[in-house]
Amino acid sequence: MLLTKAKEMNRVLYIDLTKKDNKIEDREDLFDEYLGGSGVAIKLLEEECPKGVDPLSAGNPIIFAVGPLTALYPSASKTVAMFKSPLTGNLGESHTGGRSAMAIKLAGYGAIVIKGSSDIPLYLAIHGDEVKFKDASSIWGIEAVAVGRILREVEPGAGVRTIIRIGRAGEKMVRYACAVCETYRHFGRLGLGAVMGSKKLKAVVISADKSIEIPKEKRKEYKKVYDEIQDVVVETDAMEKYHDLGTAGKIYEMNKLGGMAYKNLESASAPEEIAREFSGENIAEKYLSRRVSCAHCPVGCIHLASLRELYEPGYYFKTSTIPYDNETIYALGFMLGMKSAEDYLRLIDMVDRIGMDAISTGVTLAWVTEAYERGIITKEHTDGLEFHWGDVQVYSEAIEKIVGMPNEFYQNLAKGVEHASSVYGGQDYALAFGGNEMPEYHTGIACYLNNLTGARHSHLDSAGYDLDQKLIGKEFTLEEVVKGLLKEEEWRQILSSLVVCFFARKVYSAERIIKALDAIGIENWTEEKLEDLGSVIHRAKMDFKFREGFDLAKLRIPKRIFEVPTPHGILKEGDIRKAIEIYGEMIFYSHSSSKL
Amino acid sequence: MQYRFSYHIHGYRREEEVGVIQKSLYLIRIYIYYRGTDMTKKLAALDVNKCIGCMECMFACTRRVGRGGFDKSAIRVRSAGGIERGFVIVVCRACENPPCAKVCPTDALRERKGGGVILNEDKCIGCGFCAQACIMGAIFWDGERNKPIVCKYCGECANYCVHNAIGLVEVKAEAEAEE
Repeated sequence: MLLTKAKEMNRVLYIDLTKKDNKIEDREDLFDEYLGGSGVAIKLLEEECPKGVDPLSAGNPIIFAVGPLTALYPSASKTVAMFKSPLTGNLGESHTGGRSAMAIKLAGYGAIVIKGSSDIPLYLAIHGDEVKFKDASSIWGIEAVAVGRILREVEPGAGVRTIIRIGRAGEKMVRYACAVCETYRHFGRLGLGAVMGSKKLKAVVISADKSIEIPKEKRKEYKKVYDEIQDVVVETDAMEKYHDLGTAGKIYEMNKLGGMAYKNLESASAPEEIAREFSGENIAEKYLSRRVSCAHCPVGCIHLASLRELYEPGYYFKTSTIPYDNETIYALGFMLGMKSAEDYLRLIDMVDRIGMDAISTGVTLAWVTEAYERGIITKEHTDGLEFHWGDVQVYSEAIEKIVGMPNEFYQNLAKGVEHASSVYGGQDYALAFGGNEMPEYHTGIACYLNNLTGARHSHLDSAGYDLDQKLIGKEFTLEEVVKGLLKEEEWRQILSSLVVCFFARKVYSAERIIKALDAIGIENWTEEKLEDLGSVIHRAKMDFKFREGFDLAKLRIPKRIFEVPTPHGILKEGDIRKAIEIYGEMIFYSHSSSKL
Repeated sequence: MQYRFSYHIHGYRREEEVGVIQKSLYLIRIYIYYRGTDMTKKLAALDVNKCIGCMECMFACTRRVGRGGFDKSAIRVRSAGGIERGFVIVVCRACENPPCAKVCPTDALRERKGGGVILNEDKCIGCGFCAQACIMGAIFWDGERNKPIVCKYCGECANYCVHNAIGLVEVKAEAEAEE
């Protein structure tokens, strides 16, 4: 089947899990104005998410959105998920690749909205225009990896489909449960898995059955622009940076720089031998077994390790394939004081199977370990577990207990470190910002401003860690830093509306985006218009956050980050508070509908 | 005198009104392309372990006809039962004595010298026997037109395989190498 007119690609599939019903609407209005991805998703969230709704209730919608470049240009390979986060109680936005974006677009949708809540476990089978609600009772309680294996055989569309599913953590509504996509990709952050679990939605299978027709008069140009973009993707440093060693390639340098949180940020760099053990080079040499990519991206940044281990005497070996990257090495390696890459791989395997966000899990367990050492948390709380840095066995059992929730302590841990520390104390070293557990960087003021002010409290919001590194050895004012971050975050709204992978951000300059859009018949975009839209989308997200009670003045900043020197020296709380104020003024004055 | 002329070359479908000289030139070009004995090429999976599953080849094949997607693609990449096992690349391997041509009731599929087949769409009635006969699963189906999609060995897909998992190889060179 062929999609010819723009409006056919701008269809939104609305699914109601309560009524087991669905409808398709043309939403050209949204896609014309907001492109797709984040831009369209935030508008749909405004429409569908009632103010103050409980994130784990039927009223919280899940929105998946792709963009105009999806399936048409290289590295336009991501899907945006939007929902109200059960972890932060505010805006939830998470991105994934795999085959999700291609499958949604070529099934004929620009976005999918999932509302309501089912009475029995369900999975959705969306094959083009056909939407089926299928009983998932028999796969409820099964780990995420195995669910993929089962559905792969039951459902059609091999090779041209996506299987988004949750593990036990999602079913039990661990607030930072992830949704696993194609086994090794995740909607990792902010708890999409828990929202799916609350709806009794075990999985969503989407398969492609359409293609998009390029207008006849544009075909030559399309091929030319395509080839130009392809060449740049292949020739920029993206290939080297992300394909060779992957994001893990920068671990060693980051540690050497002193910007890597180690043992719950006891220090900002691990001892040399630990850094060597966890370096991208070492893991690649010992464990790398395969590199794979998302659909329609030639880079292949996904690194899979192969771990062979004896698990029972009598020569019972198993070989597991485990994805690894920079952030998970930080969270489950450095933060937990792991000593060997093998132990780290075991943990990531476990987190993957159970379906939890690796960063939130690592940071939460790091807080538990420190609190245990300080005596705030005792064996009474932990159901007998003794937490020590680097003890992989205890951490594995703890992860199992977070999902099993045998007592109140683990129930609290399942709500994230912000919540747990508010119950037991130790907030000074509970490393969450805006309710979201922190990413690896301790590089300077910009990375923390990013964590605090970024709409998702994710390091990818405004790349503060990058700005910090660029500013080393330079004089700068707070205004400059805030302005730089805001500009970056606004521009990234365009990238995530198109939707292109942030790893290809250098490829998709404004000029190329305009050419790329024009060549597929989406005309009249200018650099100015794109920049304006970036700021409009960003403010729309912030408006949603303010509506749901976000308050810049009330942001909690853990004391720990002011105790450990960054590459820029010791940070001062006063500076960060001042910078947040400047940020507030900037977004307030440039957009009058923002409320502070 | 004007001829209405429709043909495939290098994977592109073209249709134009041409004069007699132009037509002859085209025919010669097409003859050389398909009948060149020493230069006969085919598409091959050079090293499936290098495949990262990006599907760029599939997209490239359908892009030839001005579409984004893979409903006109003569190549498929899928996981070998889960990504941990790697990928399978399904594409016509240009068999000598091809089974698909043997079962074609209307002679729409003709053997190409050096291996593989050439499809004459005008003769094809869309019975689907060819697709059934190919145990590699390398004949895909165009549901829109009810015709098989057969690799034309043009190499467009290989142009986009950054990791050199697939490539266009000369049939003769390969045969010699095998000996």
